[in-house]
Amino acid sequence: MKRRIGTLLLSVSFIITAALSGCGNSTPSSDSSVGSSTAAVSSTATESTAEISTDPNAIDPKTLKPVKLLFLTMGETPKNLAAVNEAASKYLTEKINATLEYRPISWGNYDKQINLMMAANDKMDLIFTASWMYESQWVARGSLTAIDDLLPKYAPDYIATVPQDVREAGFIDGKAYGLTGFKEWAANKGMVVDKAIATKYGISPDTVKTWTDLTPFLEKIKAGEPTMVPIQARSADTPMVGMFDTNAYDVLGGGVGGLNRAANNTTVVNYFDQPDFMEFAKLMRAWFNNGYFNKNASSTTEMTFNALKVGKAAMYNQSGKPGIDAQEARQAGKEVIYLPMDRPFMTTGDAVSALLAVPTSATDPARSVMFANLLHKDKYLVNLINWGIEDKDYVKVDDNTIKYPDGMDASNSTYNLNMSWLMGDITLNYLWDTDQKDIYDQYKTFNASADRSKALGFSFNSDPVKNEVAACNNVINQYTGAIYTGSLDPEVTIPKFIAALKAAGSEKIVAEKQKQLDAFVAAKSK
Amino acid sequence: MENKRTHWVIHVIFIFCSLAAIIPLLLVLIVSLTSENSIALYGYTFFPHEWTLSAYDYVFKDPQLLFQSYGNTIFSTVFGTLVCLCITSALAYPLSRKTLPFRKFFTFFVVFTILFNGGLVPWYIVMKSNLHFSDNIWALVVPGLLLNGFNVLIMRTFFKNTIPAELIEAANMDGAGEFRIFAQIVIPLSKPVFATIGLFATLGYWNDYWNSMIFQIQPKNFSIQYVLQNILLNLQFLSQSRSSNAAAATANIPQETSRMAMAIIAIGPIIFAYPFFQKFIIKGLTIGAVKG
Repeated sequence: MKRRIGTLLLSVSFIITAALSGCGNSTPSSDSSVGSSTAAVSSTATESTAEISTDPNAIDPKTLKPVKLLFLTMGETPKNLAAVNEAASKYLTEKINATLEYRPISWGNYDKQINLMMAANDKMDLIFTASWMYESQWVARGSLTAIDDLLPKYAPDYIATVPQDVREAGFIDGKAYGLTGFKEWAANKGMVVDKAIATKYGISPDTVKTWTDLTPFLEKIKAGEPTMVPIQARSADTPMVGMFDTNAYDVLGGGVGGLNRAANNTTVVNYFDQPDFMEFAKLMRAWFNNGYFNKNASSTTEMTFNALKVGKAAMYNQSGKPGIDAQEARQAGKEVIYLPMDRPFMTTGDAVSALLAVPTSATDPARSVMFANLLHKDKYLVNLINWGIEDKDYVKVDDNTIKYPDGMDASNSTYNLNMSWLMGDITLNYLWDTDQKDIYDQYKTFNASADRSKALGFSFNSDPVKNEVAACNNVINQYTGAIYTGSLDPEVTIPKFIAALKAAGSEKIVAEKQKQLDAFVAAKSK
Repeated sequence: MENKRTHWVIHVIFIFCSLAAIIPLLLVLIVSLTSENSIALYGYTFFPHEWTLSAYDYVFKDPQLLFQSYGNTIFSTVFGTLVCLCITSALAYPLSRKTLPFRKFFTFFVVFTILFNGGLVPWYIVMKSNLHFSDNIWALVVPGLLLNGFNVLIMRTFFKNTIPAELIEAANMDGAGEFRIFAQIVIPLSKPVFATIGLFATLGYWNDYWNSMIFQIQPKNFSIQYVLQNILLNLQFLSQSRSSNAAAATANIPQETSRMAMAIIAIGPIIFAYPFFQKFIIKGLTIGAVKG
């Protein structure tokens, strides 16, 4: 009897202790309002609960409440991150009375992690997003704050450096959700060619201006170089992808339906069904039949530059931007030249490729915007976060150039972040001794010379047709690999492809894109 | 004569099966010792043109991080497996005794958790915000791996079928209390199931990268699988990163071969755990089969 009671008491006390420990004191950082955020409507900044100084010009940091900023982007955690966060916090406390925790999240996990943190309403103050990183989905969920009222007050340098049409390209439903990073906003398409081969056969941007110009040279290379295949391709990376999928048409976010760039109108067409698609496909087929592609083009997943590295191929398709030839030379391990096939083209996808957005769980949206603005203006801060601490992670060669300290290189660097492209203004960064000296001027010229798409700023909301989009994407994945690498006869395959697309609902998608685009154009011209 | 032939057929079949299991592993090992250049030129082969340790050099370039994460994983595996066995058996044993009040309800409760759960987000919220398993070693031990309804049912079935009720009655009549019966009679007889569940738990803890991904923030709290996965992802990113300062070094980083090296590093210690557990499982299975 006694032992029975003893055991009973023991087990009951176990249970009670366990239950009580669960209700332990919550630390200040954990937020208790968990379920509500997913249903929350996107809140504007005026509803923020923190007190902020309303003086628009000189914001005296002492009038601001101290705030801890959590800044999240993709990246590998550098070894010296703690030291950099400390230095940045010290600096930011003087400027805007805030401390910084910059936390890079590994590439494969970034979107999952951010989604989880949004669902759990974990505090985040500034995050990276882009047209290809769920910006529209996060806005639709109500997880990002509209910052239109905050930008003029707290981000004057951002407004000064990034032109209006690029800023507006990132708007969703007419509202701003983030600060677009200053980098290249357009792309042109072309081929990267092994320089030795180019010189030998006379290939240069003067002799090759369009894709069809290439054909005689490919013949010569095939005849003259038995160990090499003229073009190294894989289904994601063939010249047809370059000439067609993303340059002759603004594909309005991808999938079926796009705007013909040359026609310069706002009529959405199914570009797979157009005569120039068939023509390009026939060109690819001719090239394939003549043996200009590598045999395993439609199935390989190997990176195309590897073939140049070992001398198996002479050229490959690549999107262009300033400094592309120097960049690809490093990848391929030998000198290359770049053959651009068209002028640079700016679409929404290109312009909104790096955005710093303010989530709804931010402690003080105004402070987040202030911090993001500093990334567009403050050279010390940008270089601190991107490259680390001077003399420890890098050493200065001259005022604007840096290099690794002795004994260090990219593989053992103590601060190996390499994310300068997503943090504010790329031109504020110091140049590495391996960079081209005029690269930032090249960026500016490149951006200025780009053709703007008529649909710049339009992003397609696929929800009304999402079943058709999924079905069509399956069809596209099924057929385009073979068509783009010329492995199958286009006269036979393309009609089948079009029929399959129609069966999957492609006309509905085109109609929907047209409807949304018309509404967008009408709203813009008001 | 007939006997000998069937013997040989069986031998051949099993030799074939064993080879089919071993040869791919051998290929992984050989590729991890090949140089990246010969992979690019000649592809995967059993007889590489160039032997080198550069893949392992690359993966071990930050030994401190690797050793720390090895330590995290080993601690969470050993500690986690032990605690898992304690809790699972403590839950399974009463469920196997017919005299437990509300036994049907408790069993149903356990089965229910196998079939339904709250989903990822509630799990995340409970673990991180309410129980504070964030960025510390317990985040590797407790969430998701410590207690599993499936294991409980396996143990309960084993207890029910292998431990005769008469044995327990006899011990009871001799004056043993419940805890004593459990510790001194049931557990020694249950070595096979403890080995089995122990193996499941060890594998679960060893292979876990999910907990690190969701809960851990600082690299020093990561588990080995997550560190290896990160090295791979960052390597892929670096080799496609195209920024000038990175490319000089990445042009020579072994990519394919370091993937293989990582596979070898990840499975290395656990391969030695298998033979250890194997002894218990085999012995236990035969004991259970013989009645009386």
